[in-house]
Amino acid sequence: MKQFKSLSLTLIALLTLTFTFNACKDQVNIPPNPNEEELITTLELTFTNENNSSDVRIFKFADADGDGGNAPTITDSIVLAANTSYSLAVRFLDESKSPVEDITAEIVAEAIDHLICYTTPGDLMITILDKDANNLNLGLAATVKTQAVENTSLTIRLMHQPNQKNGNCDIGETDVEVTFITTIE
Amino acid sequence: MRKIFAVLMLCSFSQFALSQIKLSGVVLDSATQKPLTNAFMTLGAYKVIADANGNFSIPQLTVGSYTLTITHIGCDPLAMPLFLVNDTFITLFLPHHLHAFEEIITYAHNSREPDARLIQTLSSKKLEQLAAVSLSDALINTNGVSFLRTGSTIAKPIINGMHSNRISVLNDESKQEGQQWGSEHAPEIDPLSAGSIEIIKGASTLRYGGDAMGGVIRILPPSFRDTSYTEIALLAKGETNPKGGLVGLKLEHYNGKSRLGQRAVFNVKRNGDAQAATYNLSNTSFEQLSGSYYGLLKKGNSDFSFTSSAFLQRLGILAASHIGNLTDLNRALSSDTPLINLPFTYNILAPSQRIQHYTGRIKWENKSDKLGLVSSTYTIQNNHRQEFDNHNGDLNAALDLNLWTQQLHLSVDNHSEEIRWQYGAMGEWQQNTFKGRYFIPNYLRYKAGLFAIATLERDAYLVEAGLRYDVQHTTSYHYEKDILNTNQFEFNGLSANVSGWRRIHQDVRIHLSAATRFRSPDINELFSNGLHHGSASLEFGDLQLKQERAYSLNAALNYNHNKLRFQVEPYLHYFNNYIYLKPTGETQLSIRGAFPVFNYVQTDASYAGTDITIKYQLATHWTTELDGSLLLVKDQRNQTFIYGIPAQRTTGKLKYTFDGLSLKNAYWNVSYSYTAKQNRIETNEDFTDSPAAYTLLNTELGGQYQDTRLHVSIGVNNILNTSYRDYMNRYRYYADDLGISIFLILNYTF
Repeated sequence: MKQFKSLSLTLIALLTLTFTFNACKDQVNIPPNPNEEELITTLELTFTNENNSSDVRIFKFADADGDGGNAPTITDSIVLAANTSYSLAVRFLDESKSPVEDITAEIVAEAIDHLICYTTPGDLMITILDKDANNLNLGLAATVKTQAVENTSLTIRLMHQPNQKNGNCDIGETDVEVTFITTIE
Repeated sequence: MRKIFAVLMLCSFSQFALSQIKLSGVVLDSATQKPLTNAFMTLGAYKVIADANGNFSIPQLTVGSYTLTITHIGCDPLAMPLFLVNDTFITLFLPHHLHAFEEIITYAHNSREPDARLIQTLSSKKLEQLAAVSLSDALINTNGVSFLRTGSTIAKPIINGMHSNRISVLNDESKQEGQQWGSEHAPEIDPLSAGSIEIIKGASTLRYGGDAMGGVIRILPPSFRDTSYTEIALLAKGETNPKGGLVGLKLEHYNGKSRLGQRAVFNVKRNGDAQAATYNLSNTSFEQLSGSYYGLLKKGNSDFSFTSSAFLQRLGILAASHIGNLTDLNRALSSDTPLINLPFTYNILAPSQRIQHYTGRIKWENKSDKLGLVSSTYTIQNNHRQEFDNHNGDLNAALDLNLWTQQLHLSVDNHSEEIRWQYGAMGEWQQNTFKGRYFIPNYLRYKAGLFAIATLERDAYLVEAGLRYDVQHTTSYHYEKDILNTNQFEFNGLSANVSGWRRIHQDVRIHLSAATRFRSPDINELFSNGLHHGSASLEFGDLQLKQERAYSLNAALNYNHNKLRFQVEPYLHYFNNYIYLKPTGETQLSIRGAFPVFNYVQTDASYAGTDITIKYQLATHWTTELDGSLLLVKDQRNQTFIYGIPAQRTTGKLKYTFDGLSLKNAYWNVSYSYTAKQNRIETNEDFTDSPAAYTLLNTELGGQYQDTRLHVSIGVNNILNTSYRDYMNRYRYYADDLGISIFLILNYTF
């Protein structure tokens, strides 16, 4: 009997301990809302004709829920005039927030860790204009010169290269990678 | 200082219950069955030496429990609890062949209670000599145990081909609760705090939960010798790859008068970047700090114990392995060397992991004639895992999971007459909360279980039957597009097992076990939804998953005669609704680029394999050992191979024992391990071909320095500095495994 008594006493003590403990815990039923997290949802390209400032062409790629999850919602094709020089401005946005958040400023602030890379199998000639504090290319501003009429593509990558950036594209981690179907007409 | 192994045969002479009783016995060499002279025995205040015929006797004892300590030249002291009620004669078998065989391997009779499990034990002395601050260090030489690795610092044990959710790591009775579903989440255990470690293969136990189909690794608390003593042990290890080392301190004290035993253990380990054969593995540094306190008070027939432990770890993740998308992965795969190659450093940069694990436990045990051994244990654990990536740097964890677990175990172990009964109940409360990025939801989970095991022992055989019921209820909370989703899950089921041992010949014993058990889908299998950063894959869970059920057959054949030991352990597991992550072969486009898609699916699967060990004494000072592990795993519904199964492996060792070079009980060994190429894969399912087969050569020299209590060992791993990649190491996509390493371990007991 004595044994059972001490056993039940132990049990009661343990259960009391359990409940007191639970009283001061994190709220399990209020998880963080991931929508408050920062996302890159949209890549926006603004081409301005260097000889005609009223010729402004905006193309977008938007993936409302960021990486993973659902398929992209906007996948524009780039259409540019042949034998023309355009100045290009690139913006990265978080459109899941209201108002829309512009993440470009953060990339500028961390310019020494970032590089925007352009690749095309066609004849586009792309020259990056902006530099970081170490005088290496950044890539948010560029000149794009089109040549003859062609059907091609343009791939734009935002590379994150903390402590490694040397101007080369093939290092670091890809934060954004979008390939636009491109028509030069 | 090789381990000894004792088979006990207790033959009581049932005489009149005298007030003074006598313990007598004989010490025999287990291999030759010949008497061993000069074995030194301590029992309480009595000290005796076995005579020329191996006989000893201790008269004038009273009824009670004792610890018999046996020491013999070339053997570790062996402590053995005894409960004496009347005159007792013991036959002790010591495998004396001058530490011919290295490990302490006891089968079944570990607690001297009838037991049908397939079990191996590692003593704390062995763990100290291995300087084991991680489970992988501790189990490295255990045949049938391999590892799922993420570099050299994260390793998860694999038994019977299974890991993670299908293996349980137990602290005494209570399951270690970390985020064990993750392949890069290693168990938060410091084996140097353990009294011993038990490896229970296969499905031969139901006592510790129904879901450990592959096996159980059980960390046991230390036991104290019966007389008052204070012991201080220092441990130091230095190694060249990864460059670094560890320092450990152990304090142990037992007061025979108040019957209070206390032990405190404290270990620090730090190392810098590991080195592959030809380059630095950037950002693979590691830091670990662990400490534990164990107190045991014996009062009357009761034992009260208290355990608390803290485990802190910070480790770097190979810089080149953290990739953004499929383009990055292909870039990494097409390069022979890691794409990020920085000079050696001790610093840990992002990506990295920071893990904290705290455990507190109180246990009460009472022995009585009527009920047997009644024990109740309460355990509380907190596991805090933070993973940092390149984006948020060291400030905000990208993954931050906080897991609280409370467990209550009650059990009765009653060995009366012929049958040993074990029955009990467990209850568990668990809460997971996260911060930052969503990977698994917040959840609250309740578990309960009931078990009963009956064991019958006769001279030539032992049979055990067990039944267990488990139920769990989970409520999960997570947001999906600003809507709070609450899901409820309930799983329950029965597990059953029949197993036994039979001695079919003086030298041959066989074990057979048949079991069925089930495992409920874990939280990641239900809820994964999206990008697994770092591995560049999209993983999708399935809320409709059912529980998986395994039907298991485990067997063992032990042959032990004179100079030869042979042991073969075949197994077969058949799963219904086996849950695994299956590559779909498709890619999905997102703003970050394209990603391959993996889904958690269910199928029927089979695991068939065997572990084999052969030990042979070539000559007086020379022994050899050959181990092999074979495994074939198939998806039976689709007739395909399953991704991520260990390749065939064999290891061999040649060992020389001697006294010399200022060393006593010294040994020198050379070993090799051969790992085959994993060819049992589906074409185009993996990102790249399986790594080629490889062979590694290691050597080690060790012993006790002169007559001191200093144990020294020095060794070289991967002597030939072979460049290799292992199929079960996730870094194989990005970099080679470790190159040559030289280590020195010093172990001093005051």
